[in-house]
Parts: sequence; structure tokens; C-alpha cells
Amino acid sequence: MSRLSAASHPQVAIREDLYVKPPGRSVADRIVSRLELEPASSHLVVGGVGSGKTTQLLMIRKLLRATEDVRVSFVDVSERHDLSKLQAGVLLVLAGLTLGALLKASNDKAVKRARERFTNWAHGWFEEVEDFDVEDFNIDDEPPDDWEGERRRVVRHSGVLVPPAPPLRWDIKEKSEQLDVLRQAATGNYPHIVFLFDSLDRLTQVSPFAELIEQDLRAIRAAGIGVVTVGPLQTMYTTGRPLAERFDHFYHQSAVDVEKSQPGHRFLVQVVRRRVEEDLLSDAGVRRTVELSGGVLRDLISLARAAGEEAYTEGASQVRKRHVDKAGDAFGRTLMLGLDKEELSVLQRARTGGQFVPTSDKDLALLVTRRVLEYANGRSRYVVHPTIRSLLKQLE
Amino acid sequence: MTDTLPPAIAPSSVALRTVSRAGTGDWLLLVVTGAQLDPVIDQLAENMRAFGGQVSTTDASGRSIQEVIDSIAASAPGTVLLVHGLDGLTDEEWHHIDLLRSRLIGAGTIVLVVSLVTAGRISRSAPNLSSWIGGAMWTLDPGADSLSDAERNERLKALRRWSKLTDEEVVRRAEAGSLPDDPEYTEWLVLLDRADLVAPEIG
Repeated sequence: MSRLSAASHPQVAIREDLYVKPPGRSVADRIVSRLELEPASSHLVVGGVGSGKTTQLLMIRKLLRATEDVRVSFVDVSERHDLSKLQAGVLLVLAGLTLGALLKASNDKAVKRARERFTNWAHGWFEEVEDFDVEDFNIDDEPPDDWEGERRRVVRHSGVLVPPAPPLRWDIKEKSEQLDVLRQAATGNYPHIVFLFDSLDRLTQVSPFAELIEQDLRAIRAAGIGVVTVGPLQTMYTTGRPLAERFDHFYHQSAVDVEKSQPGHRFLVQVVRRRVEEDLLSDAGVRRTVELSGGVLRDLISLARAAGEEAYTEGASQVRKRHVDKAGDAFGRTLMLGLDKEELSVLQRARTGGQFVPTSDKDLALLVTRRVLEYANGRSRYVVHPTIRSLLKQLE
Repeated sequence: MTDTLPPAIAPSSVALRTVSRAGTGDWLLLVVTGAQLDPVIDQLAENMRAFGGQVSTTDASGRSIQEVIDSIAASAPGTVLLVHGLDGLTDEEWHHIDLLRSRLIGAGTIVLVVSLVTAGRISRSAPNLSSWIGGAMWTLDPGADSLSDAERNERLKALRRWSKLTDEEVVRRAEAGSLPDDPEYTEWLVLLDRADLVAPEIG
């Protein structure tokens, strides 16, 4: 049962050979194929909580490491930066620090200078400056060419033309130029560089992600670097959609449709079997675990673990269907917590008539919290999580 | 809505489940309603220690998000940390914790002791953390503490079946110091009223 921890890092599963290839071409396979042809392309991966996005990023890293001429870096943004304080420049600085580390041995003055700049941008620095009134200073304005530090008032005269894509801010432009210095210096050893950015799917507001796309992503791409990033689920719907279009390629890592896809069902059975042998978990128990998981990988692992615990406290030597059912009931009750009348009514409609159109923030929250699952087999299909169906029926 | 509340559980059962998970950063959530928290925390910790768990507790009241995260991240794998005093956190603060969840990977087994309102808040505002908890969420019933004689005998029968050992054999091995340290054997000794034979540093 030690292989059934929903909170363990996906890297552990890959290292322990617990990864099972999904049916068809995985998101990782598709992205790697495209990066081999277009190394500087950009890719956005979106999917629900626990659907395996980080695992796919780690598989991309593994596959690209086996590719000649490509240097791939996995960056878990949340490990380096508090995501609640996300702003333009963060990805660019993380990219600069990573590239700088590759060039640590370089004696080139420009490279040394660029490395130092990125370290300063990351961690801050002290500088003696002329005293001036900061109230009139706008961070978006480039200082005038004749700026010599004396007390002067800067007045901005806006032009008539508004560019369709906002221009790079002057501070981003500066970082972009330094990234280019490092990129050029690294070309000899690493003709192609790819960054994999994880954690950004946790953002519930689209605006900070939008800022990164408009500023950082453009600057990194301008340096000829490939980017794969996970993004918030909102980019699939309504106001977030235009953001997805800023990427060259978009991928939906959806839950596995366990009701309509036999290969999907078999895949999930394999995922469980790779972690638990038959003498501990019966075949009927595995099948039920797969059904109740709704095809969400993390829920699958979590349910198998909870069923094992039910069997253990009952003193049974093997996990059977009834243990999985008990675990499923407890799981469903956690998903039912915190729902208001309006949300319950949306869930009832989705359960009884399959009607669900994610338009409002509340609808999206039902998807983000996995009360509603979306399957993307060519055409989207929405279902309520299998563990809450009977509980919703009780409330009718 | 009462029909869909997290299932009720006795402190001894929470303790057994928690200790059996020892190791790899599992998350459990206990809803406590209408009971004084301090005695409940003490009771839980005591039960967990009786099952061989290395337990510590932390009161998060009045502490910043960073401090709460630091104390959880510092809990060592293989140990249990009971965290209470989280009911003052807002939806935004739970969301903030959710954003920082990478820092919490690899911690010990974490038991969050919260009110029902806070449980709903976590479910709504911290979907990633919530998915770690999965179905490991119960409503604590502090009164349902002890097993009936029939339940105790059933459990002992199950343990004998599982190990193919007798009660006497287990006691003899415990006295000789050759009993494996699986939580099942600790539970067995406790059910036989021989908690004195549980490893001294944890008993």
C-alpha cells in the first residue's frame, strides 16, 4: 500500500517504474514529437486537478533528455516563487537563472554580467540613486534617454495607435536582452533549449497568467527557446480562451473516460495493478476502484488506498468490492462539502440529464474541484463524479 | 445535508488508520463539532502513541500562512503531525496554502483537525490539497472510543488469521523483542491490554 500515496511527487512514480503509458498518444509523446520538429515552439497543457499534468511534464523531460542537442529544464514555479505574488518577469528570471547556471564556467564578460543581472532581479539588490519623487514615476515608462538622475518630471503623452498586442514593458525588454545573451552563449553546447513550467495550473485568476503569457512567454520565445507550461483550467473556457490561442499548440489532459472507453478502463486497471498485487486487491475491487475514480488518476490512487484501509480495519486479508464502495462513499462525502443550493442544483441537472455548460465562475469551480468531470474524446462529455451520484440522489 | 456529512469515526480508529499510513506524506482531515478541542487533541495523540505512532501537535491559531506551512513542511516522514487552530483561516488563505502545496510534498502524515465550516472551505478553496486528502475525511466522535467486547474479539480473530500466530506467541515475541514493528502487532498488544510491551520509546 506504500505505493498508493496521492500526495507523493509524480517523479517518485516514474523513478519506481509505476508509470503506465496511457492509451493512444500521450500528451508527452505529442509534445516531444512537435518539439523535435519545432524546438522553439510553445505548448500549453490544461487539465483538471489530479489528471496527471505534472507526470506528463516529467515524461517530456525524460524523453527529451534522450534526444541529442536538446537541453530541457523542469521548473516548478511554486517551489521558487510564491504564486500569490505572481507578476510579469517571474518566468523570465527563472529561465535566466537556469540558463546562467549552465554557463557558470564561462569567462565571457557579457555572460558574467547577464548572470549577475538575473541574480539581482531574482533576489534584489542595493543601489545608490538620486533622490526623486517616486509618485510620478510609472514602472511601465522607459526612462528618457537624457535621464541623468536629476530631479525632473516625466510626463507621458499617449499615442493614438494602440498595438493589438501590448508591447513588452521596458523592464521585461531589458531582461529579454540579457536572456538572449545567455541563450547565444549556450548555443554551442545546447543548440536547442526547452523549459517546462509546472504549477501555474493552480492559479484561479486568469489575469496573472495572462500577464506571463503577454510578457514572459513572448520574451522567452524571442530568444529561440521552447516552452511547455501547464495553465489554469479557465483557459479552456470563456474569457480565458484567447490566452490558449497565444500558444502554438494546446492540449487538454482530461480524465480518462472509464464508461465509454475500453482502452481507458484497461489503462487504469494497469495503473492500479502496477502498484498493488492481486492477492491484496481483488479484480472486482480494481474494477470498482476504476469506475468510482471517474478516470481521475489521483482519485484512483486515493480510492485504492482508502479501500485498503477499510479492509485493514475490518481485518480482511484482501480488498474487495465492498471495501471500495465504502471508500467511495467517504470520498463522495468530501466532495459534497461546501456546496451551496445553486451548485447542488447544477449538479442534479448534470446527473439526471447530462446537462452542463461551463459558463459562470461557479460552473468552472465545479470542474476545478472535480465535482464535474469533463471527458474529451473528440467531443466533450460532462458527468458528475461517480462517488457523489448516489449522495446527490439521496438529496433529491 | 446531514446525510452527506463525512462518516463518523472513533479516536481509536483514527489513530489506527493514521499510524498505518506512517511514512509518505499522507493527509487526513478530521471534523470536530461541538467538542472542546484541547482534550480531543490530547486523546487523539494518546491513541496514536498507543499504536506506536511518533506524534506531535501544533496550534496554528494566530500564525501566518508561511509559519503554518513551515511547521508542516518541517514534520519528518514517518511521523504524525496533528494540526489544529486552522478555523480562523479565510478562503483566500486556504487558496494561498493550495498555491504553495509543492512545499508540503514529502512531509510526515498530516492530520488537520477542523470545524465543518473549515472543511467546506478547504474543499472549495484548496482543490489541490483537497485531492491529496481524497476520502480521508471523517467526523470525529470522541465518545465512541472503546470497542465492545464483541468488536474486540472480532478484531483479535482477524489479526490471528492475518498473522497465523496466537495471542501467546505474540506476547512471547514482544517480550523477547523479536516482534516486527508493524502497527498490526502494536494494535494486537493494545487489544490484549499489553500496551506495556509496545516499544518503550513510543509507549
